[in-house]
Amino acid sequence: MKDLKNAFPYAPVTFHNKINQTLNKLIEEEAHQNMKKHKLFSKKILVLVAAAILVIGTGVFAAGKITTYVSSSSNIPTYTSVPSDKELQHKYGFAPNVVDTFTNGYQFAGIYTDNNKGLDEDGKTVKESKDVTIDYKNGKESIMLSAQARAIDDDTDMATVDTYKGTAIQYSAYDNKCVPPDYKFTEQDKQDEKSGKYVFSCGTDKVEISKVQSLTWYQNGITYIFTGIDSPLSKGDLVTMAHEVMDTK
Amino acid sequence: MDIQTFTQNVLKIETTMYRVAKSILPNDSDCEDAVSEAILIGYAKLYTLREEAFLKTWLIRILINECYKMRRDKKVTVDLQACEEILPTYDTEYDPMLYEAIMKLPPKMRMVIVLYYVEGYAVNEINRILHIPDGTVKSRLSRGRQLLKEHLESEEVL
Repeated sequence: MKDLKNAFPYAPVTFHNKINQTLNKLIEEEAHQNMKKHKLFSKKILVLVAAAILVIGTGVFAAGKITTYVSSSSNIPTYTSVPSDKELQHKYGFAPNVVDTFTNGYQFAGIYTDNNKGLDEDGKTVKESKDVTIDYKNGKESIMLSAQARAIDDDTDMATVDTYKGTAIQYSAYDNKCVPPDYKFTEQDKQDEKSGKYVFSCGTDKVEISKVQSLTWYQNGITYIFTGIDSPLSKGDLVTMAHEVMDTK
Repeated sequence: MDIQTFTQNVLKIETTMYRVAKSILPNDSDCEDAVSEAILIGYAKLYTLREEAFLKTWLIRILINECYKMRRDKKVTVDLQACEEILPTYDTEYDPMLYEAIMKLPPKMRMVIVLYYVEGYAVNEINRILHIPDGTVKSRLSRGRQLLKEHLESEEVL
């Protein structure tokens, strides 16, 4: 039989060009994704980082025209003592419940203001809002309570762990790997991210791995999020603290 | 697998991808679109690939699916006369009669023949690409070979 390898002509130049275009597109997209990851501050971790340093981060919104979420915060507290509802209403447009001292000893240490912008694909501001981050301390330990005047984001990795006065309380815990902005993602990092071993965030001077806990609920038009990093508090402790916040008013 | 390794592997099988696509879609433009789509799908689903060693056969499998999908969606038919007209003639070793004979084969036999005789895949590799048992690969090879011989002999008689 004839040599069947001669049954096909050489691939035309246009074919080769098309493959190159496709691969270049992939390479560009990959580079863009890596750049976004390097700039990305995990929205969850942002609440905590906000109290310590000035941060600017991006996160992706799933719904609406907003494609990017930009948040900035200051290390200077807006309030150093518990403000009145009237003050909070005037400053933020909503008045979250603020506990002075929890029964487990954690005490109010200050309120920080987060300025948020929702940007569309062209980078234009579509929506602006201010969030409240309340810092609580108990000796050397600290925990943050964030309050936002909007519904809970659709976060599928959070499980409902309690229902109090008809309100569902959701919890999640994960290991966070915070990396410097110029950090190059390794193959292992990519596998760890895909497998869910680590959630990556960016903004530290060196690589830091932390255990992050998050407890959230939605009450009277406000989303509350407790976030603890390497906190000794258990899930049950956080739920009890949530009850106390909900009982404040 | 990083993007650089993926790119290098794709470029290594460029010719194979062309021939495989060409054995389903006669039009070069359709081949280009199908291969482009297969590359994008392959990279997006790379995490499902269990072993890097199987990348080539895995991509070919995706490509074959894309070609059949395109043929189905665009209702591409194999017009042999049109094929002959659009095929380039600068390739001196290229034998249009052979291409015509291959394209006359039933699609299932055609793909086995191309993978085995043109691309040099082993029976077990074709098994992996087409998800058919070794015995089926061998029977299609045997029947395809016979039909091909008949097509070529009738062409020579004409």
